[in-house]
Amino acid sequence: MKFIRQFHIILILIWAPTLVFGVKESLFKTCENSGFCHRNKYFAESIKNEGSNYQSRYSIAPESILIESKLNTKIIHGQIIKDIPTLAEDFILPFELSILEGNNIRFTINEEQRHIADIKAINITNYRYNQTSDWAFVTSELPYLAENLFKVEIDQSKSEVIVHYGESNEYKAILTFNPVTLTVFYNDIPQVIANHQNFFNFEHWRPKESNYEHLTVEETDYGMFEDHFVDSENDKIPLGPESIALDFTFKGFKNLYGIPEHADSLNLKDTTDSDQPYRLYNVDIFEYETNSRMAMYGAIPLLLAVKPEISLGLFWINGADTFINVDKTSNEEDSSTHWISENGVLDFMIIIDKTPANINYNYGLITGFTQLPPLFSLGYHQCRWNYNDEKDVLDVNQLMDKHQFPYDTIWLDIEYTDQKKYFTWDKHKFPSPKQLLKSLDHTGRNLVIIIDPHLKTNYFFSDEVIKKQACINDSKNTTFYGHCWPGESVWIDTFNPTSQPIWDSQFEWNNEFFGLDSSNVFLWNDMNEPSVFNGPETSAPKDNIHFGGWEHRSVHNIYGLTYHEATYESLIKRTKGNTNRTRPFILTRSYFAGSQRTAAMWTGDNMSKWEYLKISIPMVLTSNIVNMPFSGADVGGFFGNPSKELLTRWYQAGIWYPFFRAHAHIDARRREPWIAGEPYTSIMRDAVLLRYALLPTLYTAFYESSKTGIPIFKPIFYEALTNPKSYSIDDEFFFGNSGLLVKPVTDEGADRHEIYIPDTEVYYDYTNRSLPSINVYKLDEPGYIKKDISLQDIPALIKGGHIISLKERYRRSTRLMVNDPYTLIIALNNNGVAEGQLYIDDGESFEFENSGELALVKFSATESTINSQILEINDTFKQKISSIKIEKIIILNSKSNKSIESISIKQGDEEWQAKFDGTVDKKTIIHNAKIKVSESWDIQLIYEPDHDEL
Amino acid sequence: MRSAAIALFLIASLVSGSGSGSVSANHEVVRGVSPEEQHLYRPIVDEVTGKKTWRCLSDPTIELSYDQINDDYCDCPDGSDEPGTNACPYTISRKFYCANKHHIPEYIENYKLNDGVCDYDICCDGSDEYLSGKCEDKCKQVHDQFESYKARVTTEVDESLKIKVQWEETADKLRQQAINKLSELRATFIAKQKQFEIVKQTLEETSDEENSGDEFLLAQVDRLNHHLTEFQNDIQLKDKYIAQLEQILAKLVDNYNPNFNDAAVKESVAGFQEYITNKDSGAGAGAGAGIDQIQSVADELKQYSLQISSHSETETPQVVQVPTFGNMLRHYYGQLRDAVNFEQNTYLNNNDNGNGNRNPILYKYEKELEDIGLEIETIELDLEKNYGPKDILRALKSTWVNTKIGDYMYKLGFLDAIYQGNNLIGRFDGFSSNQMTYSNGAKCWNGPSRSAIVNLVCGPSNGIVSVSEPEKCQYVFELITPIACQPVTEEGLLSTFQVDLSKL
Repeated sequence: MKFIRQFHIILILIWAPTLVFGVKESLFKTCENSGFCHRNKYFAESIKNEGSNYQSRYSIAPESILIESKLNTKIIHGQIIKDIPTLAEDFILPFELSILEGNNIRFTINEEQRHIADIKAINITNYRYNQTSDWAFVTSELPYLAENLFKVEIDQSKSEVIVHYGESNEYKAILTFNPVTLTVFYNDIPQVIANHQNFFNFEHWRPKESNYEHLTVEETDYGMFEDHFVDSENDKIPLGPESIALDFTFKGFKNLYGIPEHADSLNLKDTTDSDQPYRLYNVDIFEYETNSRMAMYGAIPLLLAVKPEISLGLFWINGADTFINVDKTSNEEDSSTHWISENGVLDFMIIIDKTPANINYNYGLITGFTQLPPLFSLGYHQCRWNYNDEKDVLDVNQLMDKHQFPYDTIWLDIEYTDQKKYFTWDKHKFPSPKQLLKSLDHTGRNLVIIIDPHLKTNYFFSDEVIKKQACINDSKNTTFYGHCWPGESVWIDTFNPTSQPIWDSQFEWNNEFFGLDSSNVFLWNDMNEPSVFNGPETSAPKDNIHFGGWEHRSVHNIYGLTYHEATYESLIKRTKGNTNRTRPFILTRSYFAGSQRTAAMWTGDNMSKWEYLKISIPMVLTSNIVNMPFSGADVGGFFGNPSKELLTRWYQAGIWYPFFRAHAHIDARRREPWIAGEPYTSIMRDAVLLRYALLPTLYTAFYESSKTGIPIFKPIFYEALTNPKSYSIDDEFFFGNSGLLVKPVTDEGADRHEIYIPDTEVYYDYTNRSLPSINVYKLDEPGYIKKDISLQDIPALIKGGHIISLKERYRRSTRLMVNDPYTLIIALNNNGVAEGQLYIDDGESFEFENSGELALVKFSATESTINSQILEINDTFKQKISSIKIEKIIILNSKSNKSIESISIKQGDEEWQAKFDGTVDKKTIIHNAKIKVSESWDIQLIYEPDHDEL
Repeated sequence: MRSAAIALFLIASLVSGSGSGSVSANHEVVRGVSPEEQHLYRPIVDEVTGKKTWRCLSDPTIELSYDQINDDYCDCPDGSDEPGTNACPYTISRKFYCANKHHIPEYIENYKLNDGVCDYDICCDGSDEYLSGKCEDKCKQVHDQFESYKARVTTEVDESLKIKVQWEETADKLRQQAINKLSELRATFIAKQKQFEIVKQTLEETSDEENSGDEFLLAQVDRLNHHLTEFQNDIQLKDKYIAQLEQILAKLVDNYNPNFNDAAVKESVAGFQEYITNKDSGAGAGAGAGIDQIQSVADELKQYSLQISSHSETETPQVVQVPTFGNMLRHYYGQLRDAVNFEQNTYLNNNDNGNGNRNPILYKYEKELEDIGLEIETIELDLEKNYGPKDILRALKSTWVNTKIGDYMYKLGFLDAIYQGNNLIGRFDGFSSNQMTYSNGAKCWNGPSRSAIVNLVCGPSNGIVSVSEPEKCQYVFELITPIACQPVTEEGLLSTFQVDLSKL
């Protein structure tokens, strides 16, 4: 009796999570009920069960190998033969192996017979979609590695091809013919093996009637010609099964990252025992759950594997519905992943280098780096669904000043429109947009308005889009009608080149909608997954048809990118030649690899709960390590009403997000930061003021990222690769390369705080900007330090070895800070040295690119000298910033035990004695330094002679 | 008032004149400091060396070299060494002085100095941007704007005040009328009461016919009970149907897919949620409660009629205070009618004129007394109410302001209620200086009852200028009305005057 009862209890425990999440999960597919994932999982299981007896059906025909010289490079061509025992005919899968810049090796497999097959669905293209890279890559001309930089050998026995590449031939790739595997070596050690587990699967085209002849014993036909998911059973799957799958074994790697977007930990979880592999399928997921591998709004199929000496990137170049199974447990040393996509060509790139930062760089060479954002967009964004009318907007604008909150941007959600018709205004609420924009512009404020891809039917713009056939079509290739905010809507098809001029026409300079000649209006592109309220998984049916006859299933994850890129191009055209403020700002909810070039992202509709504040940190970290650094979560949480404490803590965390926006749902109570009252309002103000003070540092971090792809919200392990204990730290981060280490408080009522220090470097306490030099931490080995904290504390440390630039004076917005002086904080390291960079430009135009109007300054310091070197500047810009000074220099020296006698400053022909506070508790302050930031300078610190020596 | 302003102008012109006309002859004018405070910035001159120094204002132990004043670096903890720059953190007590020659001197926050913005609303002379000199002096234009604003406001307020005075007079009259009416009514009540007692006494002496109606009444009560039972069954059946329907809809609300935003489904869900919310908090007496109430009244009635009939056989009726049987019946019937809301179609009016079998003369008196009493009570309550200063709202008792804003027609009754279309936003709740509050409007789904704050702004006639809903179902109106007008003062004008930057 007793036993039975216990048994029941266990059952209930096991099922509980399913019950909790049941409702929402039922709206979205799982691997189990997605035909293509189900089949590949089944396939993998069969192969595992067969063990070493399994004879792969795929092999490379040795005679097919051909080395083509073109475009100053070499491309290796060949054919994989798929042999179905029951059929006479072999299926031919042509492949290409190439080396791209950054020592990125790319492997692409296509299907020869599919396009000649007799496919009855005449409206659609029967090729496999192969244009993903056109959207994801920075240029359409592939950056191939020059021919002379690598060599190709074909093995004597014709059983493999070997490619040597890298400056000192440190890379080697071996493609074996039977079984087909690709192993990439770095310094002669295998790092990754593709198809090590034989999960390679390539579903060739076959007529439905004779499907049974094409099935092998390892396969199931589940969902090959019909969709079993309740909300998409109308999907006729006209091209039948076309999935692709491949496994990758990462040798000696246990720490895997990336493949966003998921509300989950930074370090990827093992999913072998779960029915929830990581899924990449851009969806409008209502009230998403935390700690989940369910699909979300965006997808970047880049996986990062890290171990102390070597890092590895795997870029799966596919925009279709994709599941990734992560296996960290089957092998003691290695981990593996199984990638399953619904269709498209099989295309991937492997990047290997010493550090994850190098992977970001190499990957950035291919997909582009983040745009250097306009400076204002790094300020504080105030959003709400909705600021109701012009008066409301201007009231909030004024109250910001009244309460002395600097801010740069106020946002308008969908209610500003006339009945959700984009490119129109509700004339009663917003009678004079131009006047509104002008009023905001007076103090340097900007307006961001929302424009979504769903277009209400029956108004001028949707009429035009329909007329010019620039809509997404349904499976019959006629205009697709669905439901979204405005009710019945159509969707602009931004894969279609026709849509660009139509889109541009609405953005024209002097267009009344954008306030005529206003240059302070920017864009928010939401709902671009696309979100379709009456569609399967709240998105478009997969058999919808895009420009070129491509099924939606082939391009789903790319659509959001094409949409915000269209907006970017329109904005570029709008401002060019008309204003100096030419750098666009666009926030997008949906994104893909390459989105970083033109947009910022946020983590979508989160909730006003502590767990969402907590999860925002690994989410933003993940976004940063896949080269999408301009990212943030809605401060305060979108759904619900945060407690005053939660709101305050969220501001304190939010100031570190590269994208810092407060947002709230229409049903939420007002929560502009002055509403909470004291002490909360002052604490939130201190946080926002800290953000603004650090803008020079943040802007410099963006500059560096725009050149190298380095994360701005940077995981701890990036700076502690030799310490594997740091690999799973995802509740703290470095702020760019500044050395600022921050761990936001994300627990209710917290009064103790532990910060992990990943190395034995000296760290100076920077909590609340005060630099109490008694709190200098230097651990003998990496570990946690403990601090007492109160509500006003923003725990942060500065790592020794860095020099940080600040602008400490409060102004109403970033534009008004331009001429204010800098403060430098010099944090000397264990060896008594430090350095840092400062980047300056006009913050709004492309003159930094076009005519070199920028200043790049390098600061270096030792215990006795500080100097500045101008790495880059031109005369025009030097003139422009000639009045900007460095007013204060704070020197932190953990080892200081001598008093300073004098400090002299030399700039140009002038030399003068500085006023300073003598070293008190490891800290020296140089006052009123009067140094011009635009020219190089030197400082000498003269110490008093050591009395003990006498 | 005027002369004071002129005096300020004079001082202002002294300071911002070519720079030579300083307050103190022996040192330069310190930028950002008003003429009255220039003396705080006199240097301390060392007699021997001639070196000039100065001490932080709230911490004289800190001595600075005189050239540290306004050197764009903050040295004093109180920020007093930088009255003319933004080097020190802003404090409200340390603002930058703008002379604003041709207008009125003002003080501006130091963080607005040299930030590239011409803050003409404070510094019309552009002196806040002295480094770039990009802001030309616009004090003449600003002052013209101010003068025309002043003229406009003065005329408008004068006119409005006339209306206000009229309303106050009307209100006063109405109040007087009410007071008069009240004393009249009180007199009438006393007179009627006397007459009533005389008549009653006479009647009681002559009459004991009442019992004859008792049996008839008992029969009526039985019928009533019968009808009630039928009625009750009927309602119970309908309740069952409603419950079924609610169950169906509740299932829809729980299980519909919020992601598939079908407009019709969403509307039905929201409508049902609103219905449920209002249903629970609504009338209180749902059908179920009503039935119980009726049942208990009917039972009581029957009990009582039995008592009376047995009672009346043994004892003679007592005097005045004991309610007559007919009276009681009428009372219970009234309660029943209220509970069930039968309207005209009563169960008792077959062959009955509503006053049972009792004496029509007495009934008439009682009715009249009751009515007068009620009227007295109403007037007394009314006189105690807050109608604002001088009872002014009394003049607007039945005034409605109708304004179409956006998609809605807003109707605002001063002492009544505010409607958005047909939706009740709130009932008048209170009046304080320049603000009226309305509360207890129709309830919002998932939110509070609708409510509103009405901010009153002086203007020559009543009109809603704006309505906003900063939070769901909490409205803020701006109403222009003569009620809010006060005689114009220079200070008042200055505090409400806003520079129109677009016209500079």
